[in-house]
Amino acid sequence: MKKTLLIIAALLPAWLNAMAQDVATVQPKIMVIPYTQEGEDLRTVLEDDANKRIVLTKIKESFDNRGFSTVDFTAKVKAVSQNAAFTADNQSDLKSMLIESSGADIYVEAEILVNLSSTGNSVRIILTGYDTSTGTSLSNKVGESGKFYTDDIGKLASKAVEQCSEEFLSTMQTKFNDIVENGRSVIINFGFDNSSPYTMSSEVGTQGLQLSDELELWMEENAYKNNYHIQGVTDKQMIFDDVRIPLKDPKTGRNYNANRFGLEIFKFMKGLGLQIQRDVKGNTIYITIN
Amino acid sequence: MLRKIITLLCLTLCIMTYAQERVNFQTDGPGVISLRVTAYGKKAKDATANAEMAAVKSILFRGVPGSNQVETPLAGTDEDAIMTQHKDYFNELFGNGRYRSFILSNVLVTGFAKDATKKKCLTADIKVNLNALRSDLETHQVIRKFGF
Repeated sequence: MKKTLLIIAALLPAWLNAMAQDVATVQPKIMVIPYTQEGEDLRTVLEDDANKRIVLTKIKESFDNRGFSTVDFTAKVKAVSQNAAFTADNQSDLKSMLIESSGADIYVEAEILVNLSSTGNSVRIILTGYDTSTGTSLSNKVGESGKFYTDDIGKLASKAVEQCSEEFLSTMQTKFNDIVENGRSVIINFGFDNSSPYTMSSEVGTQGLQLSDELELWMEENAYKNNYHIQGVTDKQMIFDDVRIPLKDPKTGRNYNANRFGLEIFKFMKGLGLQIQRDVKGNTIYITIN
Repeated sequence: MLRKIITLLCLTLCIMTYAQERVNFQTDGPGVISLRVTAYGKKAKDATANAEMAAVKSILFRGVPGSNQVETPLAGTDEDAIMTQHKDYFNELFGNGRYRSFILSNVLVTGFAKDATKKKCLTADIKVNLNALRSDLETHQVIRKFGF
């Protein structure tokens, strides 16, 4: 019996490792959107301008060439437009609502600048990639078509995209490699319910430490490679604006996400004798202490 | 002792030969890059092979300034570490001449002749299939596919 247990114990890590290799990593969702100026309607901006549609399609094509599918912006806009909540009155916030409702982890904003002159026409494209939850810039590139005696702005636009898309994706991949190495960034927001008797300076747990100290010590232990950053602490709130979590559970090799990390926080808070409410929106975890 | 000296001499010669190749950016387009390479060798055949190898090595480990496709190196800058980590792949690529399958064209610019330092060299415009090279590196897990 002892021998069998020993064999199982010896084989378990190898088996878990093999299991881990079978689990495909969950890839980020990327959406390419057009840049809009103040007052421009994000819903009609593409319908009105064929050149912007060409730019967006060319960028999506670059992702496809690397074997990566993006979230379709037009389809999402149509879905959002059908939602009665998105009226013209609140269009200023339409972009953030659209990004949020699409579930995209990363969005790429594309701006097109057309320069018409007597010495030839040219197009300049500005590409910027952002992490949706943290707002971190992942990649920035400017592409130029060069001057040509042509009125075909669409052709110039696609030339400008071709000029910068490869380097744009390579820079983004460098950031992805960093995420694989150092973990994905999540935001954790600790707050209190209005009726809660606790504050951040309340003494909790068996060590007699303040709640904010307990939270920091726990974060130090549990953040991936001890990588975390505190944005600020007040008596009513504590925000960790950058906590790294692994892409895969180091123990099981299965995919790990913000919700799983929220569960770990829940267990810890329960251990301190606190009742909490947990909400996860994208890569942001909201903890409300009752 | 003599064997050691010969080995050391060979190594020095190898390093010197490798350091001599010069790679400059010509043009690029979607999935293709054209480089002007000056390479040395005892025979024209060796110099041609060195030129093609230098073009591929530049793309992999040095990057090509001015290019829109591979301004940063495709595989990384730590050449020794990468080549040691993926020993079999690079033995096949450079040792068995697999790099040739990524060369689209090799057009001679100047013939095989002695340069100002009296060393025999040639200059050629070499076109490399970047898409195929990247896919190959991804397939053999030398670099990650796009994404996490």
